[in-house]
Amino acid sequence: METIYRIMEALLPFEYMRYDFMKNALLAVLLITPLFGLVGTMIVNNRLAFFSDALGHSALTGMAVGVLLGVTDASLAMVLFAVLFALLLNGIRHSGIVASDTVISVFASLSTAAGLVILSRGGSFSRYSALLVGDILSIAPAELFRLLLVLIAALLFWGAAFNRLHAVSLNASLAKSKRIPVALVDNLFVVLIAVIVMLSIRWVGILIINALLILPAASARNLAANMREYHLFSLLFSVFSGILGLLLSYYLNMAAGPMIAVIAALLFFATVLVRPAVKS
Amino acid sequence: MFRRKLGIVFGIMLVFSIAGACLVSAFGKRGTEEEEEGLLVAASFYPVWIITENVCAGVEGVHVVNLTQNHRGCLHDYQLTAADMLTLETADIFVINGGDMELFIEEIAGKVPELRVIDTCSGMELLESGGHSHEHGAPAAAAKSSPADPADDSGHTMNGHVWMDPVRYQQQIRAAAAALGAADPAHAAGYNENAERYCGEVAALWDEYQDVTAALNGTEVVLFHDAFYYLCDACGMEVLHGVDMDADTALSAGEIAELTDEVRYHGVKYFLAEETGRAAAEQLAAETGAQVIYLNPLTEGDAAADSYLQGMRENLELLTGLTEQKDGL
Repeated sequence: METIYRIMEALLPFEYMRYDFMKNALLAVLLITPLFGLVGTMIVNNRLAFFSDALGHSALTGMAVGVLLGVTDASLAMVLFAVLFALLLNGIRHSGIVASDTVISVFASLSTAAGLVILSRGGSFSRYSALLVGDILSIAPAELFRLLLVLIAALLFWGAAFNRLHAVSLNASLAKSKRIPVALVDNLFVVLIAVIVMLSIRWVGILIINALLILPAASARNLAANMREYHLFSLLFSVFSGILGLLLSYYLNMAAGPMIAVIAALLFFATVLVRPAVKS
Repeated sequence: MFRRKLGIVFGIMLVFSIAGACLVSAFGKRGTEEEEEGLLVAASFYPVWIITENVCAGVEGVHVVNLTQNHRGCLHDYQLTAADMLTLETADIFVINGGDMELFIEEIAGKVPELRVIDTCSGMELLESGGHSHEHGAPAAAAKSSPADPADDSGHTMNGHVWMDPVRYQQQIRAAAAALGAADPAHAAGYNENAERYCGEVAALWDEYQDVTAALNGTEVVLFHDAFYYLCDACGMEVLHGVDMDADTALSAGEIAELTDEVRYHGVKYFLAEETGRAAAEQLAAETGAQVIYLNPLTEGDAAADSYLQGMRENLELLTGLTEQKDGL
């Protein structure tokens, strides 16, 4: 860790690099934003935007279950719960009994409400309110390491299964006829989303995590003509808004996560404006 | 085509970066800040800031800042901001209230190991906070007589609002001065002198309280702020029940009903609340016919070193009004 700090200090001779918490936050941004940019493309393509939002809300219940069971590592309880939640939700979604958005909404409401009921026992919900807005400045090296592992896992998954995932998103029946294990690929993808969302939610916050997942990909979609461009632009927008947001929050003394989301949203509007010029 | 798009993407980013840089140069505060010469002492929040400001008054080369200047109320669930971390990284000494008031202190210890932390409550006997303090049907007992319930799930059971007891407050002042003197021996005499002067003023104020204390001794009250436990303890008032107004969830219907029954059963006439806890106190007062007295818990106020003395004097006037009214009945 010390070596990384020294390298960062050498590369970025700025005032804010004097502080370890800023180094950690910058590293976190450099891990989280490419992850979000990458996964966001498929979330947008598969129309899972609302799904990932519901997953974010399940963090409250995951936390509550962790508290009830007395689990010391809240992240573990949250990840396990979110994976179960995602698989269950995916199963019901594909069963076709109820409209997809209705199911997702029901699950999101239930998990938020259940989490609030349990966590606000004794009137001490405010201890968990950090979960709502997130606090990227309090991230510790061990947690950075976890994020790095997830980023590697996501890259491996992308390398191994992207074509199949893409085929499924275009047309599930066609993918099935090509002997692609549709359900497995789909479930693996939602599990990946669940793990990513849960491990980053404490730094990004339930209220804005979806903004960071969706906005860079949505901006990239406005400009891109093929998958390669789509991914590249999404990554660029995501990392850029992360770094600029963190630096602005430092110099202007504002909350980091929301600042990043605001910049990602402004980028989206900028791409909407230049879109006619690009697509013509 | 791809190159053109990439150009547009980077163009957009460039525009955003320039706009950001303009924002920073227009409104940003950092970068121009220069390292303060001498000793920088940070205080965790308002009451501690008042102590520190008084103890450090006129001591050369010592600069006092209030870490949570813009925060109102108690610190229980306070989240440190980037600016706070920055202040703590530059500060030499951090004076805290202690008694579980600054829960973020553990977090800091790992991140700013070289920061010297002064706990003004260390070694002091603290009261418990919240909940019942008596057995049903039995005469109400003093708040501190009930031992801590280890299974209490309301979180912090330690009550850290010690500054509301003028006697304990003097201990806090002296503790701060002694620790500051140990950290900065060159100015130890100055800190001590200031502490003794300020303690003298507080002691004089406490003398003025004696009439009221005698009149109010044994009066049963319900509290709507944990800070008033210490005032009640100092004045000999008996706390029948403390409603935890730091909780951010409203009282449940069951709690209100239970409290109403209890207040009626014991014939409690007075509620002590702070202005921001108005709604709940008023509601219960309307239900039971008790009177609400709004005292100042001194967790916020203007940046004047004599705010504590003034605030406590105002509290004294309010309590005096109460005793006169009591005599009139």
